[in-house]
Amino acid sequence: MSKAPTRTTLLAVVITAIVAVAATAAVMSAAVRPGVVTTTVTVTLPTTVTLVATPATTPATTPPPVARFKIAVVSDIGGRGDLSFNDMAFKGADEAAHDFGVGVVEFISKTEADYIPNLRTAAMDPEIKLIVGVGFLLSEALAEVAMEFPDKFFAGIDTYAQEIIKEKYPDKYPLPNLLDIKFEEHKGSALVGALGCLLAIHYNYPHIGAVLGIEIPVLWKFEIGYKWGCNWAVEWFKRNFPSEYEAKSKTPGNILAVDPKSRVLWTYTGTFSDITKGYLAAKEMYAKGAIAVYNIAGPLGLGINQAVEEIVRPKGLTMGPPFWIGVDANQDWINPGFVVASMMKRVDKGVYYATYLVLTGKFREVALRYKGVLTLGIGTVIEGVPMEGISVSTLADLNEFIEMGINAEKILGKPVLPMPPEQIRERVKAMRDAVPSWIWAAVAELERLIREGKVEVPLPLTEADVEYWRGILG
Amino acid sequence: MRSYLKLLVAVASLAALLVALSFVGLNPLTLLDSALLAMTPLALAALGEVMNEKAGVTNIGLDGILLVSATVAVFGAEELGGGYGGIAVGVAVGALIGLVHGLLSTYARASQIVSGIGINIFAYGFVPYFLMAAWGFPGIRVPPKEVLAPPRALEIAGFSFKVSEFTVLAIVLAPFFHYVLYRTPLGLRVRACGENPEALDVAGVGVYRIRIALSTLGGALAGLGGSFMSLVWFGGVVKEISAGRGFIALACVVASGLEPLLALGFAFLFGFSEALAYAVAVTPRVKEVVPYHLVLTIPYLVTLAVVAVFVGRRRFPRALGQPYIKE
Repeated sequence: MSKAPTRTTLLAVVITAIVAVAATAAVMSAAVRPGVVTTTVTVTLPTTVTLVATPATTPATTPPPVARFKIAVVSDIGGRGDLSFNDMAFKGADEAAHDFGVGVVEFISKTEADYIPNLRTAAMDPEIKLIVGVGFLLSEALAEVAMEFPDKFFAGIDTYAQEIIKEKYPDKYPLPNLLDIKFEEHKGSALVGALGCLLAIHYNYPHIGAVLGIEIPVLWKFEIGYKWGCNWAVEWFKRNFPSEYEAKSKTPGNILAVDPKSRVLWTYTGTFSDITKGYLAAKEMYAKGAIAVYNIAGPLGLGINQAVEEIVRPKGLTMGPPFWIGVDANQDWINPGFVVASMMKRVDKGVYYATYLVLTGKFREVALRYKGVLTLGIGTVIEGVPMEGISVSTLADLNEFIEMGINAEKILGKPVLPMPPEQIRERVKAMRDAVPSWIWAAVAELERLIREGKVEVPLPLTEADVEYWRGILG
Repeated sequence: MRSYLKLLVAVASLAALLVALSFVGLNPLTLLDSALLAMTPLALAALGEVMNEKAGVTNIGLDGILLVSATVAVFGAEELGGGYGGIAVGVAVGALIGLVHGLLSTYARASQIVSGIGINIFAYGFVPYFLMAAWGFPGIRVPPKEVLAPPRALEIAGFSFKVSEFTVLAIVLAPFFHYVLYRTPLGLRVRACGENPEALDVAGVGVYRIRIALSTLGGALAGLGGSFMSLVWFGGVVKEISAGRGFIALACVVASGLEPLLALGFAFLFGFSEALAYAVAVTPRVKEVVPYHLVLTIPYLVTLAVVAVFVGRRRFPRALGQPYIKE
């Protein structure tokens, strides 16, 4: 009993050590290959990537307006790599870094317990002036820490921190160093809803679909806006093409012949990470005849994309239908020819504008004037500066995102994009050209009407609102 | 044998259910197709786990193995220029993790639970790091389509039904493992290893060697499951691709009472009911009658119901999870 265990334990330790060393060596050798080195030693690589990639909106020679400071971006538990929400926030920080010469510090929250420590650590750094919290989950933490550090600026993406202040400390409301940045997702979703519905009318499909993540209030705006947009498109078609409307509404299998409450197939999946659920939901939607499925669940887009791939691969198609619709970022490049458009929620602009307000010294003024809420949407102008935050992707936007990929490829020395950039542009352009121009014109008309305030997209804020609209739109 | 009779009943009722569903507008082929895809990674991981638990090694790090293998398989596929090469890399890495776990639970006499948790924690940290290190992009990697190993498409009644050789492998492995366990001397040794390692040791058979080999096999199969998810099924990897499926595989193992055929059945059942849940959830106007939250709990309710039926019939190896200490 005395010698044997010692020997075996020793043996086990040695073997484990060998395996560990071997594993580390394998990883390191992967890392030491040319070009990859930088990525392993620095976590801030994406900063570099986007820094080079950002189209210079401000000439690079412009000196920074005021003394340099730093901004901190605190992610929610989703973290980076969703190709949408969180990544866009970091992109905005990188653009601010490039244009204004500020430094960027990233804080990744692993659990919800990390929010307050992360925000507090950021606020205690004397060089950091602005702390951006990404995601509505950070609202309470943001409100608390913003109270503790009145001389620092706080901005939250999709947060409702000022409402918490109003409830808990009514005498402090609105807190002048805190801005909740919100977006008019309902308006953008209405645009892609109209686009999808018109596609279904044109190509004789019975449905459009939407795969949603966790049912949080922000997602209600996407859901109802999308359904409302579809409804608007039907009305528009009826007005502009009365005879075709008559014919198509008698064609079995056309969306016009479908009960108005069944036009949009939708479901929440209760997750922003399990791509299997996105796949299963989207697959059933396409099987039921959805022409396009709107990805409202971040990374679940990979599952939706796979559901499309399975339909188009055996047929050898190079463009849809069927399509899917991207969200938050421009996702048109992920599978060129099959992502008809993306509803771009410019979280990056939110971070960028918040930095701009700190730089120009207008942060407190704006926070007080707008009761601490900055709503970016279609046609938004704040203090004479246009601050739009919602748009449907265009070919020009595509270039901005392809450039990011090209620069990443230069740094890494291996392909990042799914195909050569020229081919991506060609495929996306070919797909857009194949969609009848009257459809794009109709979407543009809806955008103009929204901008001019001539139509109002419903904005559901409470559960009762959502139930009301579901009762009408299905 | 009675449990297998029940399995037969289950299969028959499934067929009846499929026919019934086709009358309410749900395509049984789509459901079956989804179910088989969803089943494969669960079944592979569960079958491997059944085998190593029979030998007395519990590995709760299945989720971590799925995740790590899914990621390195994509890396391997791109480096080697082919999907099957990538799958081989994924399997090898899974086997390596299984081997380390086996060594720790035998020679090092480590707590298997702690080692398993360690594998999971390692995976959740390693994968986001590896994605950055290998591709310079956080959280996601979509490789070129040429390096994937997509399933074959079979045209059945105008629907292209997808069959992967790995799905077939999972289905074949279940009866094979059953045969090995109960009809061969090797199987007897494996079971003895979990029931009464002292007796095996006295008989002159190396307990550690069998446990390590089976743990490695379990890791390799979980690795195959992970590689299947990224290279065969989704054509890409995200940092949470396993999304807790390793734990669902463990649930299949426990529910099956370490019977390979039942483990396969539970994996299929879960995959099928998940597909069914979404098919029902996206059907127009269903939500007006049943809240979607309730519909989406179908897979868990079904699994729970089936487990309830099988309760009382499970018996686990006596020495499961305990390090064997030679006298």
